[in-house]
Amino acid sequence: MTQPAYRLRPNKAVERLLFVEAIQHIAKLNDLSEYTYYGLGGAFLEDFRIMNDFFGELGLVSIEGKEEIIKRQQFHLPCRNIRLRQMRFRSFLQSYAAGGEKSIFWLDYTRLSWPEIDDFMSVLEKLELWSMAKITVRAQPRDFKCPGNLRRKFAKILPPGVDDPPKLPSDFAALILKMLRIGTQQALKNYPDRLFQPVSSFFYNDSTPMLTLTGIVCRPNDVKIVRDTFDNWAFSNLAWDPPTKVSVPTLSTKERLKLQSVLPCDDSAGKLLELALGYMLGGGGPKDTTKQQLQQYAAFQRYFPYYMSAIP
Amino acid sequence: MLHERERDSVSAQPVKSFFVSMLTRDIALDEAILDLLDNCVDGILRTDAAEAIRPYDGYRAAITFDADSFAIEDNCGGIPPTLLDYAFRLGRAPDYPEDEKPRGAVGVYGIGMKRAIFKMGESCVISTQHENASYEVSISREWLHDEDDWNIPFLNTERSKHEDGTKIMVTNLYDGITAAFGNQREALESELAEMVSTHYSFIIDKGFSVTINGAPISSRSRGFVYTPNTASNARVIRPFTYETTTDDGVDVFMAVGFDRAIPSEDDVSSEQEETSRSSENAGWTVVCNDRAVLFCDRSELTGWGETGVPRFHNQFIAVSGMVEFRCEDPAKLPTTTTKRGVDASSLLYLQTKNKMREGMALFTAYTNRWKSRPTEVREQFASGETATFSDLKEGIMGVSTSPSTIPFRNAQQYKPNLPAPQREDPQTRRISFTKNAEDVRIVAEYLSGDSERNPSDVGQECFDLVLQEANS
Repeated sequence: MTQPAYRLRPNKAVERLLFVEAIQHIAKLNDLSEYTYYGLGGAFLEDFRIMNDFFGELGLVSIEGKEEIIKRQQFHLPCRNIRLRQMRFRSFLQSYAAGGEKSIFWLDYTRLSWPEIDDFMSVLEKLELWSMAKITVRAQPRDFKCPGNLRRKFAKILPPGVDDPPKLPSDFAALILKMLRIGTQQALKNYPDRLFQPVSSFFYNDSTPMLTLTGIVCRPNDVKIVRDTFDNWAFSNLAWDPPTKVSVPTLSTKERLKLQSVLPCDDSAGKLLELALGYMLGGGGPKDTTKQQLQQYAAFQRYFPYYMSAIP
Repeated sequence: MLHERERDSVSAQPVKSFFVSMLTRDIALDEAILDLLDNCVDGILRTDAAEAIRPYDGYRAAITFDADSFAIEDNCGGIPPTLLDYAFRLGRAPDYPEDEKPRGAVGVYGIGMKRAIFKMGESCVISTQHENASYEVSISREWLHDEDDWNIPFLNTERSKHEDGTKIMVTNLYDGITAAFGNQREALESELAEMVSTHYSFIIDKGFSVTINGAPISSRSRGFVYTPNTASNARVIRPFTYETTTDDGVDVFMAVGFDRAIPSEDDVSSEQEETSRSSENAGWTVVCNDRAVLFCDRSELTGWGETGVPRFHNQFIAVSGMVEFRCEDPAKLPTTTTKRGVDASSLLYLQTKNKMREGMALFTAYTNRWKSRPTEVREQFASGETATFSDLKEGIMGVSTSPSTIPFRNAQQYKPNLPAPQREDPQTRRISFTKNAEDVRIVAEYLSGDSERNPSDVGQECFDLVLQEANS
């Protein structure tokens, strides 16, 4: 399937910075220099660039199976301290042993099939306490439109009473989150001294609906510490609630500067920003969602990337 | 104190803690919960409804649990007072009233309910209402640890429900159970739902309703592909069926066939990669008195890898079989004590397994012959319809069966005439090759914009394109 240009996905860019905030929260509990970040950086190593910018103390390991992409990664290395491992992620997992070292894993997938879930469950089994794990998967219900297909592929982690996906991608994302909850419990079933505590979950759609889940492996007795640490974060999801939607509108720089002068504002930000703008973004009409879009902008504007032309 | 030399007997009294720890050791939590569900069903079979076509219609059981307690509540008739002195004993007493034994149950030993309770916690209240009787029986932590007290407190209560039934409530849960019902609650719900929907699919299809923490559970009925409106000996896709009543009165019905079109070689590799291991319907299901005691087994226990049948491999993912044993006396059924397994040493089962292998071999052979010809396979399955196991028992295929005398006398069987490939046209050659899955997707997208296209079709189109170029 064709991927949209990686760095031009505004919602993903926002979500990536929300992940940075989640890591900043865990830094309140533990020294980040004890952590290593493992990711599937892709050709541009975008997440590694950000990790290095924000958390210079993190160890960085990228895992990639294809030789040509490794070469491209070497070309794009944002810093010298990224270790590029050429192997399939499954092979990497077989050799991975935490050995007392805390880790942050981001399994940034573009599909949803059993191996992606299986990888995530396998990672959880191997993580040291206080490690963080994040997974991103596709949340397109059309992928499972054949009756029984969802059950056939994911019977092991489907909640009771579910056989087929709901029609709306946002509802499907909520279902996948429930499936992941079951998967995390199954992964740690034989480890009564640990569980996976979610800290955030997002749903976004940059032409492809995606779901993310981030959480921490901790002792049951430490759940309160995690919850207290993340409780004041506006984007936390500590109780497996449906994922938070990230859907930032397409705005010009001039529009953003105008809106910026009104921000921050209270819960009715959508209405206030619409007034400040003085026009509707969707051309008006009953289906226009300007208020909701601007509400989203108000929520995520700090993470919203600016796109400008540049001469390389 | 009695002097040693004066003794003329020693104590052989059972030790309560031994029963509690030993009984619960060889059963998993989910199986213990299913034992309680079995009791609900046995309750129905004691009522007049047992004679109906849909005996379980209107009956229900609700299972609820959290970190503090477990409960199962049903409207399945309650425990008759005549069973009071039997239902709570560890094991079935020889003078158990014959007319209270539910016809068509699966329990034989009288330990299921007690074992399930002891598996979960140290305290329990069983409240039941049956006709004019209503009473409560309590098991406490103190009773459990008192080696001398073998009587359980009993209390007559007021009738309070509008339907007869039983509620079992377990508290003071053990640590491992608290974790399973608390931190791992959703995983257990999912696992239990899968077990109930498979093991009780027959019973749910006949009207029984089960909820787990409020979520209704649907049945996972299995289908068999058959080609309707064709002669009995036509070369078409149909299941093998076998039916008999043994000399000691056990009804046996067996069917084996395909539950969908067989996978191509490409499908086999992607299925292997993309499907969770537990989710396939392939293999044998064994049903005893409406309850599946074995589900989708692919081991030697059901004949895979034994004489005439290859070991299970993903290429046989479409081969599906079901065998049902039915008898009023559950002791004659080939089940294990846990009721969730087949007694592999049962002569009845071993003899039936011979027929299971005979039927299965037809479909593994078909798969081997046709797996590299997906186009022909699609054509053969195109006119197929799906019949349930019950449909086959009722003769939906409309085919003539023939007598069979081995291993059971007076049996009837239908052996399908499955399609066989013609010898290859000497003017054609078969090309088969394997490529990286991502590369296949890239080529598929390049050719047709559909990256998920069937790899065989992609290969075929590549060849046709090059042929066109070579000829131009």
